[in-house]
Amino acid sequence: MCRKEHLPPQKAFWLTLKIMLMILGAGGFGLRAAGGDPAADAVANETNSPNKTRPSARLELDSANVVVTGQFLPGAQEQEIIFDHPVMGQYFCLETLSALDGRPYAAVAEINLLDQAGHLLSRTNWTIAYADSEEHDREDGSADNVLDNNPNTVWHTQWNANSPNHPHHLVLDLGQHETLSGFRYLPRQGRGALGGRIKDYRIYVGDNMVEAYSPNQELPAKCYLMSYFTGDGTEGLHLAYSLNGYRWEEINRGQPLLPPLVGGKLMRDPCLLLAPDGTFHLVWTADWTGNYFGYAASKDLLHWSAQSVIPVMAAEPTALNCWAPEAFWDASRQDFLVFWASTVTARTGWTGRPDNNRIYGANTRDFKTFSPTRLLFDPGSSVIDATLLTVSNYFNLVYKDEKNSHLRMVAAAHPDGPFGLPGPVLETDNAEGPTAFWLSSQAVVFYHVISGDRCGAVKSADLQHWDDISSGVVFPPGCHQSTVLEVPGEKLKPLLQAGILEAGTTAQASELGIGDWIWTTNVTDRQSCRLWRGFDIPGKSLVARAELRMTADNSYTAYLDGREIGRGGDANSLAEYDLTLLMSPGHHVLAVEAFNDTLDAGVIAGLHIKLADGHTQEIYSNPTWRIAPGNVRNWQTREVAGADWLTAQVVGYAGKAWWRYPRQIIQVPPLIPSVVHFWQKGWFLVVLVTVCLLVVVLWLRMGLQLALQTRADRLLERERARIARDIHDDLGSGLTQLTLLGELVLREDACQGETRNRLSKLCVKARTLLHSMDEIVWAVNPQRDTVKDFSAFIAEHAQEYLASTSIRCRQEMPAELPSIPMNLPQRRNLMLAVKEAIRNAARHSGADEVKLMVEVIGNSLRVVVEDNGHGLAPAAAAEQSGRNGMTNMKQRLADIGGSFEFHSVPGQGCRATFLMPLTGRERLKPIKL
Amino acid sequence: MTPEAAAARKIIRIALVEDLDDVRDSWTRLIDGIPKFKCVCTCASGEEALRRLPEEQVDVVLMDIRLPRMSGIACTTRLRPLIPQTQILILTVSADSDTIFRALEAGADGYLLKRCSPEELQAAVLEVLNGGVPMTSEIARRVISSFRRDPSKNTAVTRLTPREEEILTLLSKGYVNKEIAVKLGVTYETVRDHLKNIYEKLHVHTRGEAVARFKGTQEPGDD
Repeated sequence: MCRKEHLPPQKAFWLTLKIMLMILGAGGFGLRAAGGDPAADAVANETNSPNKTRPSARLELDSANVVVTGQFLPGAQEQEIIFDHPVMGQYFCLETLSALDGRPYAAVAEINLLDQAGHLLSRTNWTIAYADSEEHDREDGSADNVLDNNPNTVWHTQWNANSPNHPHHLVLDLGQHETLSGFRYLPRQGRGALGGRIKDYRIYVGDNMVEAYSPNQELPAKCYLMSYFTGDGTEGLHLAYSLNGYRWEEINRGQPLLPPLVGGKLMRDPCLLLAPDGTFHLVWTADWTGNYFGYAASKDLLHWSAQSVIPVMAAEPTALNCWAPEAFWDASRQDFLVFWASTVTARTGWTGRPDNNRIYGANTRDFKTFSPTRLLFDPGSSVIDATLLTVSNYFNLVYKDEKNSHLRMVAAAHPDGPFGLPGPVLETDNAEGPTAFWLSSQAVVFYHVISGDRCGAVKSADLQHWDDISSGVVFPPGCHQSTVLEVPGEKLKPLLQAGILEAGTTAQASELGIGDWIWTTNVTDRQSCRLWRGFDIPGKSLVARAELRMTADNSYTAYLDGREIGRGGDANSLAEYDLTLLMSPGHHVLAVEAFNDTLDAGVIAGLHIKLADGHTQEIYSNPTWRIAPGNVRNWQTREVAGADWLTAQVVGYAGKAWWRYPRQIIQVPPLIPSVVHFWQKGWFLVVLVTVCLLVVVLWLRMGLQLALQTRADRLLERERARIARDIHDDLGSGLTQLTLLGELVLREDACQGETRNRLSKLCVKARTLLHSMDEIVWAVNPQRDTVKDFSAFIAEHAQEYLASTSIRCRQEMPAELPSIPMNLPQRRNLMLAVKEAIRNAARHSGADEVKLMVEVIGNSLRVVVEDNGHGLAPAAAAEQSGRNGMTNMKQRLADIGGSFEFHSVPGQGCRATFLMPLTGRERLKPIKL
Repeated sequence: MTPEAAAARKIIRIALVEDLDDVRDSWTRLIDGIPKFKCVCTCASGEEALRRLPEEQVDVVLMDIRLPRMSGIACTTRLRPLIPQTQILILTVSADSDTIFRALEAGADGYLLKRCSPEELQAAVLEVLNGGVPMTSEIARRVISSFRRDPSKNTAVTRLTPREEEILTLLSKGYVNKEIAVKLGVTYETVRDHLKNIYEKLHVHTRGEAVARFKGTQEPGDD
């Protein structure tokens, strides 16, 4: 995440400082420029801001640790107190018992401690371990001021929102075990009798004086939780907790956790109830008028259900209001009793104002369906703000009697009455909004005093006599009309661990339907994180609506069932995907591949599915998600997460730290299911692949056979070539030499007469033999096996043959003939047939010209031998064709799939036509073996 | 002095390039047996021929096509520019037109079958001295296609004249020189001169190509 604008203040400060120093170094006027920089000032102010809350801690003072009890002198001078004897301990506690002016405040400027030798101890490693009260609202009353070496700053107990009385406690943690011989106290400086100067004091020194609570430590089994509102009730739900019921700590630094979003956008009188199933139910006054109250639920006080209004007074058309609802778990009925105050003008007389209230109630099990509303308590005058306190075998209703403006109590055997006569008045102030709870064996009632705009408390052991304990209770600042409930510490833990949340953001996150920021265990720069969540949509009900809202820091690609549904990269805005058309009952997988650029990383999402039958299903980003390892393929469609897949970790809550509340929601147009054609379906692909494989296998087999065949052919050709070469080389040159020798002998004088004659014949015979051999070699030589070679051969032959006669040889053949191969039988048969035709023409036609024509027509080779002789009469022609030569030629052509035609016209010569089909096969390349 | 005159007047000096000793000896004796023919130089290889022949002043070279290492055709290609006045006849066992054409391309003036009779040898030598051996129809067709194959390479020197083309066409149709002379109304010698020019142009036309083709390599199918 590039979070330039979210630099932590300290970092920003140092960065600013650095920049200022750089400016200073670079120019001469840097100081002024920096000093005048309002941004730099603002940063500086921010870092020095004292507005911090003391870590929650519990003070455990042991009287055995008391070192000295005494009185400080009036005045502003420093006072040194020497102990009777040196004491040892890590903690030093100043307990104030009274102030010089008799008021409840305490203020201290500086505290120093003396070592065994009476010298001042270094305060470098000291910290404030505990301060029971600090004023933060109207001044910097932080306890840290007693260690800051500045006499003009003080620790001052609260005086604005609250004024807790003595004793006050300030505990210093010395960082290590020290031996102390005394201490020095510097009172608040200034002239005159200023408030806060201490009179009576007590000093404790020891170890284990303070038990600090950190969110990671176990809280006690029994804690107290307070829900309240502040101001006019538009801020929302505030929470505070206490370990002892007296000292209350704000949760979330006093910031509201759940803003009012329904009704009149009001949240007054929030009443929180922890049901036995561990769910917190919250009801509140959602409007000044109206027939409803607000409702929300949460398991952890961080994540809230959507808020709703429950119109419990809908049956009473004249109901004007619905105030201060309280929820009560009725164990005997195993349901919730909810009661509130309403003015029903039809019953109480027309006033037109909601000032004539009675307590009404209704029962529910789920806060969705309620029993009919009934009148619960009607003392005959206006009552509001009722709350129930369970006593062993009966129930006390504490309420505000509006006529007398005080709190009263009334008892009943059952939570819902009937209630008897009003009991004692709890207090006499103009109080309202009581909450009652048991603290140890005493009943405690907190309330709000309208006139003083403060909180008050009374307690009673017998429910008859009530003592004001207001000064002993440290209320959260601004606290107003609260509910106090006892909760197990573990229920508080998630909330306290969440840190500081931006006002109401978890609630708003719930409103928005998103979960928490999640990521894998370790966050690193340039990291990919694959988040996986499988889920089932049960039943057969159709999906009426499915929406996914999500974003990521820094970027993500989201998949539903393996299909990419979107990408995004703005952590400040939520993308809303309408997945309605993609959802159907059955198993689905939501997968998010996110990438972190640098620093913090997270994915936040929420999927809301509404079924046609009214059921809903929600999937939030939380630890139910799993992390798919990087080496898993098709993880986006994996139906089940691998056993070794890590669980997603919550790295933050919406609005926490620098993850601001999403500024906007970007709606993505509805995604339409991609049409899956049958050819895209699995079975078809399987069939297709199978067919392809079969074809390939068959083709390979055929190819193999062909290759073997070809190989055989090539071997044959090679053999033929070898034979041709052997004949040529050995027989040919031998015969040539023989002829040469014969010729030489012939030229010798001794060779005469018959010998010479015979030798001459021998030479001629040998030459004839060579000639024949030439033809045979040509015929079998695979290197001369094309149509081109054939026509060249036959042309040469015709010319040579006819040259020895008086017959002219004419040739008609194209200069270029194709190199289409002819096999051995084709060449041999056609050659012999054409030769015979030429011989016939030369011998029998009486022609003086023989014409040889060779051409390729289509896929056939045509050879024509034509003479201009006397021709043959048809009868003779028939007879001729019946003769051996003709039969031979016909047979030869038939053998090679060709045809032979003999045509003759008397006086016009003869014409022999040979037509032979060409296979068109490419000439095979010779292979090397 | 015309070659005819030379042939008529004096001894015809012949060189023989043949690798087999027996055959070479027989040929030598056969040639020497022919009146006015004298075998003045015998070489056992193409390399030897290239070395010796330029100095021997022979009239006709009988070149066996089948030689070890450098073939007769390759040898002819290189010999041709060294002895432009000398006639080269290729000796071949078979009348394979492909081989013959390549020999002619390489610069040979004609060819002779090894099985020829002494009379045919005498006639062929005299014929080549008189202006080249007659062209068969098949060779004529090859010449035509050779010139057509790459017309862009034809320079003014190598381009065939219309008359030459005419003669080639007639030759390809089976006409012999005499018939052509009659048909065109020219003398036999004129036809022969044209033929000689055609041979020369063929050689020049294909020289570059041929040199590259035969350079130091034994051609397959040089049989």
